[in-house]
Amino acid sequence: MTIYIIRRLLATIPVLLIVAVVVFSILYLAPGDPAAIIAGDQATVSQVEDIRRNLGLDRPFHEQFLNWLGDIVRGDFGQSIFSNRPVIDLFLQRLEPTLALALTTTIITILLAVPLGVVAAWKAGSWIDRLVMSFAVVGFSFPVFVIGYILIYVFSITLGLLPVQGYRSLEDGFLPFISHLILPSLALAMSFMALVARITRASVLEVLAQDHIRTARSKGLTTGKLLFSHALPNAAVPIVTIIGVGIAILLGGVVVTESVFAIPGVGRLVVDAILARDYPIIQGVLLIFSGVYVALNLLLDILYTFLDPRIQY
Amino acid sequence: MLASEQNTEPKTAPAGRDPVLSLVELRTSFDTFDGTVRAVDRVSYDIAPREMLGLVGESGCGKSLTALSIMGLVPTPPGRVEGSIRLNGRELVGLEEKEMRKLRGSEISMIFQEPMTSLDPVMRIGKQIVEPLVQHQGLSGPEARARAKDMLDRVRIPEATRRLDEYAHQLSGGMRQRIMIAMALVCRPAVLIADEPTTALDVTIQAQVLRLIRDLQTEMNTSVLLITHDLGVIAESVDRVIVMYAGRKVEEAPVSLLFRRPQHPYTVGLLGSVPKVNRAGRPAKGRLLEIPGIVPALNQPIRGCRFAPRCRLATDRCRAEEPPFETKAPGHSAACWHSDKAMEIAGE
Repeated sequence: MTIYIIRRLLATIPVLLIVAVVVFSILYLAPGDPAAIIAGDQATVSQVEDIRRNLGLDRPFHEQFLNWLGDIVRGDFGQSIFSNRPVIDLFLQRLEPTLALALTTTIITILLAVPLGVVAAWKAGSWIDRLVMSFAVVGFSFPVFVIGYILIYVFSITLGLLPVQGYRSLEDGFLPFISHLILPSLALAMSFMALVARITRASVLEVLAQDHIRTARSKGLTTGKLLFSHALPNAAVPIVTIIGVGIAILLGGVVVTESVFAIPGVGRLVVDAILARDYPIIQGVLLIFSGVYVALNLLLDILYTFLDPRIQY
Repeated sequence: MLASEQNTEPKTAPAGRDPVLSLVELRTSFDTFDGTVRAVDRVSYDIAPREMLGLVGESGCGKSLTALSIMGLVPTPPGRVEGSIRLNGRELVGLEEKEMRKLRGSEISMIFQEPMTSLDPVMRIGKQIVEPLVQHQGLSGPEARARAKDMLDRVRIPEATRRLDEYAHQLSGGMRQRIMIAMALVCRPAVLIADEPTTALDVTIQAQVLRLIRDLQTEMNTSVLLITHDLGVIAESVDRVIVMYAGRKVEEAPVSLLFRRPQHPYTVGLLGSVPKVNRAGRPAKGRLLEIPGIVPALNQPIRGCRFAPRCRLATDRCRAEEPPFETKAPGHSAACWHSDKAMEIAGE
């Protein structure tokens, strides 16, 4: 197992290297000259050249890349072109809201979608099943921003129950913290829940047809035990996989949600950086996200061995 | 020629002992697009305390469905279970699911044909054996575990303590079937239903598992309903046999009588289609007897004897009138107009 993990960690190096090349190339592939943008509309040609030289943009591609990569390996993701602050500081500053949002969304999803999927499978073909599955279709069909604005309209503006926008740190108390997170998390969770509920239903349904479920029934177990101690654990691998994939998609969805709900998270940081062509920030955050994806995958593979004793590496 | 006794449903349990399980006119049917399929049709039999009763017949004759009906595991709808099933005098047909659940695994247990897939692959063996104890007797922790270990000893699994923490895939087929038996008997049920318990096992293991079921039955005072299509299994282990054909009971006899003097042409056919070897170990003389044709469709009413289309003794009467199930000899009953001539088929 340890050897497997080490092997997997080593295998991530080429993956991250390829990501690094792609991320770095964005600077060249994207239209517009960063030096010219920083210099502004009124700058002279020589001013632009000065900026270009200062940023090292005049050097050959491979030289720039290796310099950049060397810095990153040392933990230096460069500096924001505009604020001159280190990218890593800006990132960490914005991490808390994003993490809080992703976490509450994942928790809501697991707590609601998994039981819903299990019940839908148990009552397959009934009105409960149909209700859950139509909800899944609707939830999956609406984009986050539409759901977000509907939620704001209903719960914040019409009913006045929850704040419209913004973010409060956990340090300001749990109630303000969570009340600001409920709507964005729900908006973000909608498609995630749809995905997880569908997969849960499908895999539990498959397990319910297996022989050992009949054995469990012949032992006189209650429906609850049948579903949650036998059916669900056997269906866990695909469900956990889809939750992992969902979290990855979530990190993308965070960008839109943070914009709709004016949450100062990593998503907003990236959006602002893209609008301003602040390349070091874009590159840094992309690379960190890629690292997160790779780590997530590894975590899933390790998790499988705990979920199913037959899986061994 | 008819046997002198005319009671159509003879008392089948040995006299003087109240049956543990008693089926009267059990009917299990399914509503399908092609009409109602009567998979089990008016079947009656008793199982006496500590008796091992064999239920034989070919695939689709309704023997497994009889078992599932007793367990209350027939999905309703589309299934329908009618008639009477009494367990120690208590009526099970129409019993609420909640009540039925309390009996399953505690009063009446079942083991299945496929030991490879009948255990939960992701739950430890020990936990699976303990589950009925937790559910029915409210045991927990070390006490339940001790009982599970005791059961593993009883089913002769070596290193029981270690096995409790293993998973099904770490065990062989024979071991898994032993685990199934341990699990089924852990609450000391009154009746154990074994549905083809040895069919999926190696021949050498088959004998061991049968022996084990037999021993545990005596040891734990359980009655066993052994369902099989294998007459060899029947010959080795049971006291009494019921032969089913197309959802009906066609013959019932103590095992020695059934083998010595079968009264129903279908039973004769079943016995004749098993290869025999002589003392020298070579195939015995004579051809294997085959039963021509196939089992009739059960989705429409059948006139006369169900076996008639496949029976060489069939007469016009057989095709017109269903023969009553009647006593042909002490303890031996069959449903055939020509039971006195049944053996002639084998002689051909």
